[in-house]
Amino acid sequence: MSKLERMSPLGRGISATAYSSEFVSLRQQTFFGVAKVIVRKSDLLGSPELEALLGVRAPQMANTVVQGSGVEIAWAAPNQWLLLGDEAEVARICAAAQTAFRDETALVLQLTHAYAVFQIEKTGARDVLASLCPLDLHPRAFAPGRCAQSLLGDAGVFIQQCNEAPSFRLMVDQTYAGYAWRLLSEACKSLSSS
Amino acid sequence: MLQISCPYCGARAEIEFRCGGQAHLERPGPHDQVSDRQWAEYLFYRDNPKGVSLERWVHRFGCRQWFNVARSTLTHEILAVYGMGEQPPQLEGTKR
Repeated sequence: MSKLERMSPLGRGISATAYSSEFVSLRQQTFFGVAKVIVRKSDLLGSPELEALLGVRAPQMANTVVQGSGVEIAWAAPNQWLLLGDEAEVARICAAAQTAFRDETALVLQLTHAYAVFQIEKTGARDVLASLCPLDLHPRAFAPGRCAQSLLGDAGVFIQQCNEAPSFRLMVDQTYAGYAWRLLSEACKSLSSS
Repeated sequence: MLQISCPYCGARAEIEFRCGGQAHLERPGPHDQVSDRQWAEYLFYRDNPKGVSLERWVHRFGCRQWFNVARSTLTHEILAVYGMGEQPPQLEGTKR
C-alpha cells in the first residue's frame, strides 16, 4: 500500500503555486489553522476562562480582527468568530474551548481542512483584489485589522488585511482552490503586463 | 447594481445578497381551521406592489444574517433596513 501524503487544496493540478512580480506577489499558505466558534450568548467569549485561553477578548465590532496569544480572532457574524493561526495552536485552543464550553450552547468547529488560504502582497495587491471583489478596499475603508466576507469572482471569500505593505489573506472553500488560484494568478499577470 | 446596508456589515454590493421574497408572511392557524383558500394565499399568492415592497434579504456571501428591507419597486431605492421580527417603519405607500 502506498504511503498517504498530505496535500494542499491545490493538489498537484497546478504546478506553480507562487507568483511574483515587481507589483504583486501571490502564494498559497499551506496548512494554516482555521476554526469557527459560535456562541448563543454574546458575552460568553468575554468570560475570564476564555479570555485567558485566547489572550484577548473576542472582537465585538463587525469585520475586525484582534491578535490573541498565538491566534488571531476575526469577527465572522454576530456571536460567531474565526480563529486563525498556526495549525497546532488552533487545534490546541479548539480542544480547550470544547472543554470550557461543555455546559454552554456553543459550537467549536475545526475548519483547517475546509479552506484554501492565499496571501497576496505588494502595491498592486489592492488592484488585483478590486478587479475580482465588490468590496471597497480603499485604505480609508479597509485597513490592517479589518476583515470581511465577500465574493472573489463567483466564490465566497474571507479577506483580511494583515499589514500596511499591503498584505491580504484570502480564504476560500477548498473546493474553489483551483478556481480562485486561476482568477488571482491571471489577474496578477494582467496587472504586471499592463 | 443596488447597494444594500447590511445591519451588521454596512453597505455592500447587491451580489453579496439574496432576496428571500415578501416579508411579514404569517402562517395561518390553527391548522385544522384553515380553509384551502387561506392556505393557497399563504403558500402561493404574493403582493406585487408598485411602490414600497417589504422583502426579506440574506447577506449570503457576508455574515449570512437575515433582515428586512423596504424597497421601492419604482425607483429601486432602499427606503429602510430593519431586523427580523421587527415591524416595518411608517413609509408612504406601504401596503399594510
